Amino acid sequence: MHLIPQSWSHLHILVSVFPSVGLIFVLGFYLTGLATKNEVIKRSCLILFGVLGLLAIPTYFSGIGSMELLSQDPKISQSVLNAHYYWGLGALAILLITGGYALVELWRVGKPSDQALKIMLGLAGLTLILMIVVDELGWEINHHELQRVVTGAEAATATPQAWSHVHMMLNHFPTVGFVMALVFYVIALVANNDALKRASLVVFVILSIVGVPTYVTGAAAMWALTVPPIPGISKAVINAHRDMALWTLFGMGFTGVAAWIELWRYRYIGRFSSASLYLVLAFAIVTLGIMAETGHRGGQINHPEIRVPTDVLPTDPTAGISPALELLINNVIWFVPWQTVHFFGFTLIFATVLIVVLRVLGFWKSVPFSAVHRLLPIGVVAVVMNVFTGMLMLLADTYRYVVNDYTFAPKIAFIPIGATAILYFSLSDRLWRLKAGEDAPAFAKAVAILVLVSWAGVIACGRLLPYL
Amino acid sequence: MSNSINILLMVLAVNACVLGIGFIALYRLNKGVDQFDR
Repeated sequence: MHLIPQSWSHLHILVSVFPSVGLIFVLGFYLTGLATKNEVIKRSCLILFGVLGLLAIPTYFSGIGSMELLSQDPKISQSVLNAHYYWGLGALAILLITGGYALVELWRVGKPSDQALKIMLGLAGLTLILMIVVDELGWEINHHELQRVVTGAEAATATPQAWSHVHMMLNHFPTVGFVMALVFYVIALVANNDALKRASLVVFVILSIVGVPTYVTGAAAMWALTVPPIPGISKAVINAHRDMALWTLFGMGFTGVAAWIELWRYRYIGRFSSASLYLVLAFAIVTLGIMAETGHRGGQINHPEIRVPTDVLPTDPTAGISPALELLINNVIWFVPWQTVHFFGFTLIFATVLIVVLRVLGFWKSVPFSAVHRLLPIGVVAVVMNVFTGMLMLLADTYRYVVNDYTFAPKIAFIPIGATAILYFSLSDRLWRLKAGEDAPAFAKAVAILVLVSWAGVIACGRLLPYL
Repeated sequence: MSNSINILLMVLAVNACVLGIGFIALYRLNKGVDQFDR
């Protein structure tokens, strides 16, 4: 059972991500609660700040246990361990104060004052900044590959380690984010609070969008860790991880699309459908289960300290779904049909984006915004088509895309920017109320230009892939 | 020649399936909100 840690190091890896990455999500919900003046959201966040504060205790003790173990390893730098320890001590102390203050405010006053809420925001922000420093130092302890310098003939074929670094930063967001979003979502369902339901659904959609660069940077990190080879890193173990990552991508797709459809339908129906909400819950729980296994397999790639004697690691680098898909999609009879679907996908995305963006920018003012809002599902279906086909095309030649093609990284960066900005069009109350003849607010116009540039960037960078 | 025909048939089959499923999904989704639309 992977969720029951069998060593201090394993417990530290599992628990320490919550006070850092989890804090970002609680902060996000907290800001939503303050902006919407929603008492349920504010109170839920105060409870969760308290819970994260309490997690400082197992984080500290598991860290001490890990340090004792790791300090016996000659490859581990004592100065990096010490730096991580002292910064961590400071961050955990502030976290404890933040959590304690949240719980005291919650129970002492009943309804916290505005001043107390702002103090909470400041404390949580300070904790987060310290946590970012601690996390970076924590990675330095045994992710030595990040400092690896490849020279000579191997330098020309080596994949930049920046991909691995970005993958480590990104992959904690879907995993920890799903846990936090699920907690808030269950509170929303129990309290029957529409604002919290909406906020949780938005987080599910954003996390699904983040899944795309997470998967892609993971594929790139695979090459960064294997060409040239790093002692102790096994391609077979990486393949086992990316096979589960593939299922995670599907799980996130189902959860994200189901959540987005419910947000879109809410505009017309004015209430949520219980059946759809519970469907999202079911998708999210199943996806979290798959994600937990993905995370565990990912941890086994480069954390020998969490392995136990009963662990049976794969040894065949050709086994699994991903290598089989790579072989299949390299056959022209499979590649060309899915590439054609990809082309249909981006024409549909760009058509939808262009119509919505041009209305926001002032074209066709005789049309109310709600009329173009009806077209958004076409764009979402097309995004799903292109994430799936893009993943297949990536598998055809991941190494070429990530090492040789300079426009691949910007293309992948534009996707979450464009997709998240479209989410704004789906959610904005001000735009939804925009009647025929009315001008859109300046902020909406700025988002519209960002959306247009992002999706034009995705297409242009995609087309330039073989040439730059 | 037969390989070209196979590729063409595969392009038609895969795209018809994907776009067909997408079309049906979008049609049902839109039909569901028609009565509530302003």
